[in-house]
Amino acid sequence: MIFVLGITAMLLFVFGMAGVLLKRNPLVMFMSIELMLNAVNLGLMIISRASGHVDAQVLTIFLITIAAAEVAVGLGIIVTLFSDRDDVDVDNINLLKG
Amino acid sequence: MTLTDILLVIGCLVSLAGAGIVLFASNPTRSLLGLFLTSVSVGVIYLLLGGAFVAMAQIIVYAGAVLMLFLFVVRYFVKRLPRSRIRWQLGAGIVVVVILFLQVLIPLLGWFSKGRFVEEYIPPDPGLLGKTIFEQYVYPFELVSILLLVAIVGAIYMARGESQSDDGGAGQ
Repeated sequence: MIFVLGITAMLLFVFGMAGVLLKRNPLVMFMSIELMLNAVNLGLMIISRASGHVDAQVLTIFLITIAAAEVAVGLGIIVTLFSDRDDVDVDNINLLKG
Repeated sequence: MTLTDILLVIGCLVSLAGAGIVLFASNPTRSLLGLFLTSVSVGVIYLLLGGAFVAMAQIIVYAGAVLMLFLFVVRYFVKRLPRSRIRWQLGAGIVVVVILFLQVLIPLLGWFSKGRFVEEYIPPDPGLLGKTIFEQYVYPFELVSILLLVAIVGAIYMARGESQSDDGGAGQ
């Protein structure tokens, strides 16, 4: 069973990585980052179940909190980025100047 | 194969299907719904792995708060979002992804096939989880709370950037 779950977590991470690398829409890239965070959390929960200790679950809760903070800041950045330009293709966002 | 194992396999398949929707859907709203599917099914997997509190946090924070934020932003910009079609980077991206997959798979394969779950596993109740957080992990807990505070300040700063330039710096 640990094999199936481990492969699932890895595939989730790889799908997220593929989304970040292949998609050109910043919002979908951000969703893919969330997918990768979910994969890491799943891996931690597998470790918690395999070792019988609760410590990995504590780490998972911290990671969920960090993901929430990251989403708040990241979506703020994306909204600010979109609000005064017409196109939202990441290939054209190559200046730090606003 | 027990009932738990069957449900775990179903949860794995559903979460992978959601990830596939995120990756292959051309409409951002559909990608979002795929992420929702993945979040909920990963929460179900947590529940089956004996992490009830983490499963609840996953459902409430991810499927509730985070995806609602995403939904607002996606629907707000839906007219201007491009169809995120895949361009020439496809080949290079696939190569990088396959290399990454093999890099992670090969070292972990031994543990995956030999690793076993603890036999007489008592699912930890939320009380034990809270005790562990507040006895062993107090400093990381406080650091995470400071991080949340910084995120709040940053989000508010970015949200009010427009009005600050309107009043000519009078708000300072």
